[in-house]
Amino acid sequence: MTEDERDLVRRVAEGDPVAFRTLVERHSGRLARLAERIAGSRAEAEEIVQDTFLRLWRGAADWQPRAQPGTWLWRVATNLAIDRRRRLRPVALDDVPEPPDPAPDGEAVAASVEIAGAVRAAMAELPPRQRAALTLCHYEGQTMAEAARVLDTSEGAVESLLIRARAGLRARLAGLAAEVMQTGTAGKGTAEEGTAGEGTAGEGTAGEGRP
Amino acid sequence: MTLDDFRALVAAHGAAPRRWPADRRAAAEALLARDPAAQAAWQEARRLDLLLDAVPVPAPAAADLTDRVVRRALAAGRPRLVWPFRNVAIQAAALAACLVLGIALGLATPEPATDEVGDEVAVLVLGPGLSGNGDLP
Repeated sequence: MTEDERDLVRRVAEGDPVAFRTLVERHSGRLARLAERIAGSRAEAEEIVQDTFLRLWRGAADWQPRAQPGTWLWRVATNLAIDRRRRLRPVALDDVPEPPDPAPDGEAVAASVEIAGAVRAAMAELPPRQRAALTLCHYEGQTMAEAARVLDTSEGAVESLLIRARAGLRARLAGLAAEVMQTGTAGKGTAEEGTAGEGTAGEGTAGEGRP
Repeated sequence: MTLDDFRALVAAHGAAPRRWPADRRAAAEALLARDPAAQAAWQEARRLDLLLDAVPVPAPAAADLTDRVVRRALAAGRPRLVWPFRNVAIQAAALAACLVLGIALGLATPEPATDEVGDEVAVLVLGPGLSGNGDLP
């Protein structure tokens, strides 16, 4: 995160709507993606993004200069998403959003859509912090140090969350995993499509400037 | 790196070396290259990676999300003004300085002399009964 962003937060504290809009434009897309993956729905994600920035608008005067604005935003959004996820538990499979209808190009696409739906359902059953850790590290490309800052915990705790998350998913998706390995692919997006292509969380890949 | 270490690594971070912690990556790749048991653990992790990567990236945020966020914040009111003396010690020092300055000014200011001229003017203007000098008519 840059000095520029800290200056923007200082201006937000003075009530500058232009600075506020700049921060929203920079971060809202990534925050919405993160929140959707943790909370499980687009509508919830948009509410989370709005609440996150409302807290920034109201709390900018109390900003601690040592805190990175991006890290703070990610932490607030993640916590809000985890809280919403907890209120929703236990998750009914019917609540898991249906994957989009397969495009008319054959069985492979239909199969991949089915797999994606099964994975979404399995992730929805994970405890929220496990789901958040997996989202941050696997989908958003964060290092353990970065995820630890967002989750306000230690790197060791993040690694433990990841191990439990993946073990839980393996158990729920055992049949599918064997099927996937037979075909060699799950058919749909790749890790690169899910992370690198859109940039990693925050700003860059090094630990310091990242939420 | 032992085989158990490697298993723990892929159990947490999956099969893609780019997701492995940098301080363990080289040793893990070396073990993976030579140890069939490590390769089996890696394959197991890769299965799950493939499944996770089957979930499409969420669609981009709605085009008007920024406008809605800004509108809602502005409707909620401006942030409160910045109070520059955030530190309690600084606030206490400022208060003490004000007190000391006030006392010093009070001590340095001489007692007002009897305002005889003022009294005479008051008698002339208001009359002896209203001038406040205590003499009733």
